Amino acid sequence: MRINNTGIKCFPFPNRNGNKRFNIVKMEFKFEEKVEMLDPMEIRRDFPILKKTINGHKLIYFDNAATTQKPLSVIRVIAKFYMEEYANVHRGVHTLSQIASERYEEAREEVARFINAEREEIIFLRNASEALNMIAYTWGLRELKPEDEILTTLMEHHSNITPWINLSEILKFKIKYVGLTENGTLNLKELEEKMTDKTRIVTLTHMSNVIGTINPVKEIAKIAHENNALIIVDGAQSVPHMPIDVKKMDCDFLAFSGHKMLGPTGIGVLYVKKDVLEEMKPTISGGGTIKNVRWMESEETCKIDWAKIPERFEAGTPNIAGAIGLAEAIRYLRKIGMENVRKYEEELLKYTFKEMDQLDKIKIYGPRDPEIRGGIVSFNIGKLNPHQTALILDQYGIAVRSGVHCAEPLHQKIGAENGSVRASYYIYNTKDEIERMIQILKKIEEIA
Amino acid sequence: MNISEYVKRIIRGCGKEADYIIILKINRLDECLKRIIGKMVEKENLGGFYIKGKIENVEVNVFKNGRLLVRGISGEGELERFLLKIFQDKE
Repeated sequence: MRINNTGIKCFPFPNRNGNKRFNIVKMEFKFEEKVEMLDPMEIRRDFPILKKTINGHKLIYFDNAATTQKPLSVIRVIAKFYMEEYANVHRGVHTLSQIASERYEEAREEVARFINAEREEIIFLRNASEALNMIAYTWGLRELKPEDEILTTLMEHHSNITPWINLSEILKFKIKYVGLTENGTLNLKELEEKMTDKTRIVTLTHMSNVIGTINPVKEIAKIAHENNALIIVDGAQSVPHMPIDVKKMDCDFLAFSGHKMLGPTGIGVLYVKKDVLEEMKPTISGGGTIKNVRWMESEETCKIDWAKIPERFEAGTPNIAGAIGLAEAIRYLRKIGMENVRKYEEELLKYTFKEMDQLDKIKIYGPRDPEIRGGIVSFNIGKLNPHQTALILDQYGIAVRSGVHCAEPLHQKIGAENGSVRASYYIYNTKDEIERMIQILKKIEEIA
Repeated sequence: MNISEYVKRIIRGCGKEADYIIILKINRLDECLKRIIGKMVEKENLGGFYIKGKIENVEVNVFKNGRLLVRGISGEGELERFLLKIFQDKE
């Protein structure tokens, strides 16, 4: 028996084709048609850190876009792995190595199921930043020519801007930036206008880490593919908060981090569509990435026979415990159901807007429609510097982030050059916590 | 004297303006706050949230949990000299 991602216990009996997964997926789909709201109070019991007091006040953790807290099940599974199952993976012939390898590969399968990918399409890395860099320095380094262009947007995290700028300085290709509309959505008209037959890559965030905008990546993938370009999706903010299906989205690359979705730090994922990945060669290579390296006496050189995918891209000993912890985090999220996560955060967002609208001096950035926005609210109050607001909130145990959130060009575009205060939500946050923050913001407004 | 006697950590706030957040050491907190507030001019208590003022024309915001927000300093070297002067000078 297993628990599917809706929390319903079911027996994974095979269908006529002997395909177990088909039946489970079908059951999940039926259940998702009548989504029920998750119970944050029940969830909070799984997060020991939320009982903590900070500066004499109960912790209110609103910094989830930076990183999320960890449930007991994740903490325990990592401890158990180190206490009972730890060894290095893959080529060890001893039993403990085989156990560790199985656990690591099960984790890969769990990640693949979560985004509807194949296991070979999942590469474990440190985080989304590393994944985005890896695309640039692996695919980009070999494929991009001086006459080529790539398209990105002005709502990107620096991790999806800087590797491309670095690379373009070497390879001399052109980077074009797509701007925003007045209400904080991506300017799709501009995107289409800037797409040419020279465009090789469209690389963009699925959900802005500042203004929460959810970009229509499926539609953008279609435009990119019609123009023979590939599409890279930065899923650091979207994968933890909404259902993701790479096949439906039809993206070629998807990057995300484990620590932003209840998993441990130091583990991230790069999904690459199989036919694209098969053609790629690693930038970081060595242990584990090769089948063999043979000395060719007659040519006086070594010939590399690369390992199969995805191992070809995981050089050295990977973060085994991190992957296992991430898989447990995914199991936790699947029990809640990603539709429920999304719907709950929409509710929190609606509530925030309703309450914040009572404040006179607040400026909220980004779209106001919760259907196209994740649970991220960036704002400023009056003339206060964002760090002043964040430091005041910290005195009341409320953890928010202040600054430009590694998205400086976006802050320039929205007229907040000195940054913003960002409250970002997750499944354990409550309306009462938001209410508490609003009460303090009302007092802050008096001095702003 | 070294500022590390008083300062636990310095964070450069990102954004266009140069803002620094200074985390003071808990065991020297009372002494630090007394020194800093004692040197401030144009002092304002802002809603009981923090005290804002100037020391040698530099804006300093003092939060009771031991955080300082120092604004308008051009770099880490200048910040270090500024803090050193505050902590070294006799009241």
